[in-house]
Amino acid sequence: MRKLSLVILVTLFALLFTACEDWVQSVEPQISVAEDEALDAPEEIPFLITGVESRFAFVNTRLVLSSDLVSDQLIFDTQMPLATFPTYRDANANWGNVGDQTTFSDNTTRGIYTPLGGFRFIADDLLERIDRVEGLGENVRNEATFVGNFYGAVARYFIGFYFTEDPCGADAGIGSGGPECIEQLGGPIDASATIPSRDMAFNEIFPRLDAAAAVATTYEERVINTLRARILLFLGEYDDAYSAAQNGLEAGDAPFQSLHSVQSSNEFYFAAGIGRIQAIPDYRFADYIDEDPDEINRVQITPAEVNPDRFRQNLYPAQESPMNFLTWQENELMLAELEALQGQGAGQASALDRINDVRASHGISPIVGTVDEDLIFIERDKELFLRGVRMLDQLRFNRWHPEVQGTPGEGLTGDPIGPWRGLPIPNDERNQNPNVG
Amino acid sequence: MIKKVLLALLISFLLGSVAFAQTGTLTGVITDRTTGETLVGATVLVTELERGAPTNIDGIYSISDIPTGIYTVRFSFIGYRTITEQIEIGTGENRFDVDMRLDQAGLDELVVTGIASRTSRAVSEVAVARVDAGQFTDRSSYQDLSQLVGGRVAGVNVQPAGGTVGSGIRFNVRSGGGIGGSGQPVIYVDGVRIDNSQLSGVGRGGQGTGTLADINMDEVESIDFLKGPAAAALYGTSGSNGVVLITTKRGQGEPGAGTISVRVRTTQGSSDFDRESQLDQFGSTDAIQEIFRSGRLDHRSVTVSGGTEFIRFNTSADQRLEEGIMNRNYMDRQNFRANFDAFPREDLTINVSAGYSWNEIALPDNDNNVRGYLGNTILAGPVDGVLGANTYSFTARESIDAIEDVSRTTRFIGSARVQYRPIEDLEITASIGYDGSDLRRDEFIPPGFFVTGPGTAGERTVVNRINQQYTYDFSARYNYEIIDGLRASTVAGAQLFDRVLRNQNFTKRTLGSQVVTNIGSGADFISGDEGFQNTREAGIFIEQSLNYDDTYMLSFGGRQDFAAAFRGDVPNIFYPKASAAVRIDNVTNLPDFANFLKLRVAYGASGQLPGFNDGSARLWSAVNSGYGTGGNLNFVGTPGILPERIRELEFGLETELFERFTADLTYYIQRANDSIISFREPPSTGITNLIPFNVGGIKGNGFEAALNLTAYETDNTRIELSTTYSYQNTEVTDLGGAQPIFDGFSLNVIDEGLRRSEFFVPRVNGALFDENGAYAGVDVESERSAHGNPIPVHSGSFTLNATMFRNLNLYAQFDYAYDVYVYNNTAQFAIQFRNYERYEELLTKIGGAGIGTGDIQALTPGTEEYTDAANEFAKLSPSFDSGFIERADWLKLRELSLSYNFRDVINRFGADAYINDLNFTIGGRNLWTTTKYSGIDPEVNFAGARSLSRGQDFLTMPPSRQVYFTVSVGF
Repeated sequence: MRKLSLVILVTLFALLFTACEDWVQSVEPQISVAEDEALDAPEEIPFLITGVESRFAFVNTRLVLSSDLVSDQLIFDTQMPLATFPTYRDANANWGNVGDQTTFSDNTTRGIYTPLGGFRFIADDLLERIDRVEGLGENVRNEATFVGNFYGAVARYFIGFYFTEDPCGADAGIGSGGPECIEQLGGPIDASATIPSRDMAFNEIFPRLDAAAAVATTYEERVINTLRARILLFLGEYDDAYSAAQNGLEAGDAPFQSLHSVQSSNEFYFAAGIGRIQAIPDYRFADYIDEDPDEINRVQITPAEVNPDRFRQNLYPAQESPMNFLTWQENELMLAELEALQGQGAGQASALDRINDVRASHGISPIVGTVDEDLIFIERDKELFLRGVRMLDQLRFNRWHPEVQGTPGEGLTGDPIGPWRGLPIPNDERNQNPNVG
Repeated sequence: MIKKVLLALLISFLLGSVAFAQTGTLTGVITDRTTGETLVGATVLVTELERGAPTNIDGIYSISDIPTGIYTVRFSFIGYRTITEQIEIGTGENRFDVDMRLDQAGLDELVVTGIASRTSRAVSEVAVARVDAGQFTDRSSYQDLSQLVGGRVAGVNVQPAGGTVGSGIRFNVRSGGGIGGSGQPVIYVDGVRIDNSQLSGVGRGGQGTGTLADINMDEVESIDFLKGPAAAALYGTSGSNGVVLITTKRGQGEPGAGTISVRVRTTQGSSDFDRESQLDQFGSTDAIQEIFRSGRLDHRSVTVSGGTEFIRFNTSADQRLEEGIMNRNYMDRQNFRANFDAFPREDLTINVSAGYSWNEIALPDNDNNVRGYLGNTILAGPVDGVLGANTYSFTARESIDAIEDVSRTTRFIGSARVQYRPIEDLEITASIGYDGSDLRRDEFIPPGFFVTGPGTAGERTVVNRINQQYTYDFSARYNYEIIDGLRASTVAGAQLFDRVLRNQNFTKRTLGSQVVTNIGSGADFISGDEGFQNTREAGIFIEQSLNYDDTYMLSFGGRQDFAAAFRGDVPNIFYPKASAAVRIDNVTNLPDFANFLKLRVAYGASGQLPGFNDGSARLWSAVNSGYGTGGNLNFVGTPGILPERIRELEFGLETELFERFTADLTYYIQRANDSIISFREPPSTGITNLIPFNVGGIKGNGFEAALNLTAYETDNTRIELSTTYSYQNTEVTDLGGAQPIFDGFSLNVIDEGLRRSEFFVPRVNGALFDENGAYAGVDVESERSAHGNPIPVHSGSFTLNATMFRNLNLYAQFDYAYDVYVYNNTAQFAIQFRNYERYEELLTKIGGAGIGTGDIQALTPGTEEYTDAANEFAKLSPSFDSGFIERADWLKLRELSLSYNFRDVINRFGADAYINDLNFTIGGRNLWTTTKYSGIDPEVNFAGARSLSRGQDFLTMPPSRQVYFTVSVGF
């Protein structure tokens, strides 16, 4: 009897065991996520292409905002009633006087750095995936090849030219920092050691741009060359920069943009726009317009609704405002700079024409005189208003601002600037990557 | 088995034969030993015959036709110590009067000790705690579980995240189990595992709606707590933070025509802000004061209960309107309950519980939110040298007032339970329970009012959430005697849990009208999404219990647990348990003053489930953009991940001395391993989520004490003093090499060698000085260090429960927390906005341009006064958090009530034919507070009741002071 009871009991539990396992497994599937293998299908590749583009937009808008706060274009304006983010304040002060622990755990920087890694990953993943997916049409394959390589290069450009492992200028005294700091910029890929900007450009970026160019349209080729020229200019490789710019975007070419939507907003809308004003353009932009009212066509600012005595940027007025990443005007200014300051091509005469062509495209009257570094610096300041390039220009022209920008008499204004000349690589990387200190 | 049946038949036959022999009647009076009052409704049972009778209104019982002989007779009454006597019954009347004494320690109270175990406290082997809710709800009105339970159970700390009516609450049970999960216990209402979520709105900070706010505390009869795996092992995974078992009120029946009783009750009250003195630190004191209001409390209920010996019922209708102390905060709840118990046959019991609620909760935007009342009045900059003058600079007052955020929930919690006893001592129980809720949340910003985000365009957000969860239980219990005096009980069963959660949300902007406001009237689509998840858990359990002469008790058993996972391996794991207790008072002769002494030890294991997707290799999701919709790597998991495993060992001592003093002491140790630690891969790898691994560990220990002293007792007076005390400690032992896990503000951390949620920031030592002794910046350490913990190390309560003049009752409860820290982010931001008077004073003293500092003069650098001011100033630097993490020990007069029962008056005037009970209470909550915390109130957390952020005060509505009166009438 006892044996029988034991057998019955064991059998019952075995059945219950199996039944329980089956029952818990038979849940209804989720609808908001898919497994990796499910996307190894030709019809899913366009979905993944769009994913790479959307990540570019997500990262670009945030990176531009933060780097412009680090530069002297944007001010964290404590007089704006909605200016409350300490991380914007810290970026505006180049993380001066807040210590490494605060600097490396800056949530705004983390909010760029981590998605940037993801952006780089899915661009690379797209290239690997099209190698293993069978039955992919040639057009889609070419498009995926271009997107994977081009945006893979763009992601590496962001890592290599906007982030930095160490502060720069600290050894020479706070407030300094010039072209040598560009060489110090850089970040890791796949848990590597920090790849300096120069190595990043030549070993990681340019090979991918070459691969993208192999399947690019003629317009896309010009986009690639303008990007190549910008990077070479930052690195002081003037001959190659000039060659690339000569094959870059041309007058009349559409700007190459990051596209935004209400659901994937332009970050300026909620940080420095109608949605919420925490940062405003430096006061010199108002001076530019005072000097020449037509400058409003490119230095787009407007009185701030919440504080009409002050102004806000109006370049990106809506959540869905696109952001120019590369334009023919920038390409022309690069050519002008290289001709006027580096002796490339036709020199001064051509340089002035190029600058005036750019001005004319905005309905701004031409200028006369000599094209010198001051003029280039200012013209680029206006033309590349809130485009994330100013930080690199300040470094390569060795014109870093000496003190924290801000509202006169308020906040951190007048304090010595902090030692960071790029966005500090966050603790998330430093703590888990033994190759980054 | 056949032998037992034959034996039973033989006994029946013999007893039946005896029925023809001589019989007698057992009768007597049962009285309270102290007061001499007769006890109405006490039960007398002749155990051999399983026949009994209750005492009538005069305390008299009578059981007739008892065959002559010697019988074991048990006298019991709720709240009194059970008496068992051997009584010889002769022919005719046999009188046996009994004096019963109060059961100080609740030793005879049946308490839940496991998933299918219920035993008296006197023989339980695990620490059990019960709140007899009825004794509190009879005289006071409680908003939610946190108010009813708070401070009453050692080792269980229940707190709301502030004073917002209808928001979520958080349990801190013992050391908090493992690292994983929400840290919350599993909660059952009449056997139904209920939803205990906190629901946040779309894109808003601050407090979420608490789903426990739907539960009406007046419907609750008792709440049992199984505080950790030692007791809750058989509840399986997710029971590691304890199990809370809520039992609603049932009807009482009488033989014959039965009985019916009606009780009508109303509570009227008012809530106010009582921390005015704490506002002086800001320049905008008047503006802050002005946002508070008196909140109305209007609570009414009617209960009808009764029944016969075959069917009993308890039904109630209840309406509670409670306004918060700030505009746009209220809870308007209606509850209906119908509980039925049927006894169609002697061997069959059917219990049905059905509760329906309709709850409307309005929450104001506060906390980390530019639309909040507190943010707009505390973060007010100066104007023309006047501190705090620039109020409502984020959002205008009229805009804040115009915003609506209302959640409306309909919810049904019901269960049906059948208990069948096919043979003596075999009990089969099956139950099914359902908790279904349908929530609709409307967030509306009218057009024409400027608010950050939509500007003046107006915006409407609609959130729908449908939650359905089913609980299925089946168990069989067989009680038997192995040898004389050694009783055994075997329980086996299965438990299934199935949850389906669906939610959707839509936001549209640019509304054309303030009166036509449907979501379709919005011109611009902003966002929309939906979620769906189906999760299941199952467990098979078995438990063997042995009891030798109510002196030595031993139980052991275990549960095999299963849980659903998204396309991964199904986590299944075995959780064992074992417990033992010995009644020392039965083993040895103790001094006369020692009435009861029990030692117990228990061990159990439980767990925390991984996240539903944690076992997946790689998951992709869709992201919207200006390019259309694309794919993005959403999650990288760990195939084969297991639940976190938490083990607990507890030792206990329970005693009763001098029949006046009781103590229940427990020491426990918790260890968790396989804790799921979310690793952050270097972001340069492209993995953006935290990857879960079974690598972590945490240990905890603690001590709990519940002491009760009947200090004075006469016929008409009884003074009872009680205290609960809890000590808890934790230490994260292993993160498996992962970097510390921080909350969103990088303040609370999970890190090796530290307590859970420790504040962990770089320490500010003071000021730096130049060669002249003048302030030259902040002296801050480069590395982070521990700054205290938001979970109190020591906490508890003191209670006075005094009955005087027979019918007058005074109840007072003080709650306290000691060694607890709060991060005063409110002050930190107030300083940034230049609205903190002390900062301005110090700034002036060190030679800066302080605002509104009047006659205060700059001090001379190098002097002691200057140095002190500079050091204090440095610690108030808003660039560093260290100076704002404050010791926040507090003591509160949590509850004070004075009640008078007019029963004697009713009887004296002969009105008892119409009214049998009339009770009047005046009382209050949070009437007095003292604290070391410099902020408005230490009992707040800006991120609600679930976030990793804990103990962070950031513009959070403080708890209110409430006064009320209650009248209840019974018919």
